[in-house]
Amino acid sequence: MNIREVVIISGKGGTGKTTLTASLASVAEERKILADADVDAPNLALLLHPGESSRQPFFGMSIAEVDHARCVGCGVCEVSCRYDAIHVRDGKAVVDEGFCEGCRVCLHVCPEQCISLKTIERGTVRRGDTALGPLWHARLYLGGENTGLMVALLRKEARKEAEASGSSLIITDGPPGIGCPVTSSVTGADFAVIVSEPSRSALSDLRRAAELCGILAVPFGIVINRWNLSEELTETINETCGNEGWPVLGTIPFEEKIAEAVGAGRIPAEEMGDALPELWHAIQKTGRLKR
Amino acid sequence: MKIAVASGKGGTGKTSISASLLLARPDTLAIDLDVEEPNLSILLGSFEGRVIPVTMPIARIKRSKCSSCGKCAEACVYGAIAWLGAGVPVINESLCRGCGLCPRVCPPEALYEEDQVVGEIRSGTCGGISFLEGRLRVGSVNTVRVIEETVKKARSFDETNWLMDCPPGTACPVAASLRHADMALLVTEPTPFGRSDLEGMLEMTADMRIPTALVINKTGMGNIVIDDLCMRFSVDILARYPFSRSAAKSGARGESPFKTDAGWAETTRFLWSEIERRFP
Repeated sequence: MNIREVVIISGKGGTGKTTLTASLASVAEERKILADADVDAPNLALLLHPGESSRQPFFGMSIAEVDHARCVGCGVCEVSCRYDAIHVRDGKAVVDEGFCEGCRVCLHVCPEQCISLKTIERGTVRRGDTALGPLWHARLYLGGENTGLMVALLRKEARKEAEASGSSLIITDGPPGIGCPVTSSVTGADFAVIVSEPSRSALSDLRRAAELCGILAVPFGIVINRWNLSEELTETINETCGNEGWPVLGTIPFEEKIAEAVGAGRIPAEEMGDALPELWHAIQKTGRLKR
Repeated sequence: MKIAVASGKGGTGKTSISASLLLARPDTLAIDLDVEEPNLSILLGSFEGRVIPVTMPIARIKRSKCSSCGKCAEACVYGAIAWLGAGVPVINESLCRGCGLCPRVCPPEALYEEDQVVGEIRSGTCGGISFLEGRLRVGSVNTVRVIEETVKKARSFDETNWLMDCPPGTACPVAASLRHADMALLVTEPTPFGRSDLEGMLEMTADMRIPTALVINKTGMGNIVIDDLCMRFSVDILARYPFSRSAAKSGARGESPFKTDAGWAETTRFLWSEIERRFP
């Protein structure tokens, strides 16, 4: 079975990735698996209402731990740490768990050999059934490191289930930005949908997201959401896409009834009208999701 | 006073409200820490100043010195050094996090580090306001590094009052920004997504013991109630900005609604007076 994976990203946050992911899933007829890769602000479950069938802890990288009985507070670890994650306080080295990347430099340099590694739980990975198919989602504990690693694990689980269940499609709701978790969400996907909106900020972020897809060699297309909030900027985005050779897959209008449906925890598929199935068709065609 | 404007959810209006607060008090240092998608300058005006590269040491290998012992590959926890049991190891630069361990474990000192650009800082003024912006290079994953360097640079400015426009989410980039703040101003919207992500942010600022207050943006766009969250975390709502198509339109063009919408400007002045009254 050939599994195709499409990931929804945006650069700028709040352009409508999650709403669009759920809406596209509702018109995609294939047997599919859904994944929410926005692990530090996950919202897809608020529209898909999954039950919970499995839950597993996520550990990520191990981090440094200091044996205070033996620490003499010499500070060699502090000056060697590149992540500003270990500081001598009141004569003892203290690890800032939110910043430690588990690189082991402190273990290597400590003259007292009083630093070791420990695993800590960084979050939870969950699976639940929804009316549209199984949803894999996760929650990173606050201030957590390792978002990229967690996204990679989530995508692996989604793919495993797709293979086992004979699903032909994975739809992933990606995080905002262009950093670690985005790179981890997009790498190796078959197609990326970049959700933009008519503003200069969104256009600037669209450029960066498109550049990232180029670097990662993942083909992509653009959706202009809420296009009628500024027809002038929609035109600018269209022109930019035309000049750069980026395919515009479709547009979705801003309508109060779409916002109201989301406000009530409902997928606004009906409210989006014909624009939605047309958009899905364009994604399938441009992204070569159908064989 | 160092104020961090954050939100959890993206697109709630962090940058719009940051820009408005800055335009109302131009003696505040503007710091854009949303280094993956820096947009504050778009709303403040034209930038004048200089661009400083942000670098990070990346591992390199001097082939002639390598004894093919494989210790570097064994030590690297990021899997950035591949060694197949013989020959000279290969370094995957995009996975290297610049921790500096491999040169320390290499017996013949074949491994060394070389600075690589991971982003840049724009330092100067924007629309007449003292301005700093971190900007991650596309393709780099070293978000926190760029944030840290931008904050370091901010300490060389005369201004002691800062306004930091923070990244979305609740992961390490936000924690890296918040840890420099005296107070957090959380911008939310009355939607289920806004509420859910606000809850995460409130847990985070409580955990980090940062005094926190709320601003609700786009009131009227949803009717989700957050009173219970305010009670649970003992935080107050300092101001409410109504959803307005005209404000959205001027923001979209890169014009702060502070300049185009009298009601918006009024709310911003009220917000400043509330911040100063409650966080003296």
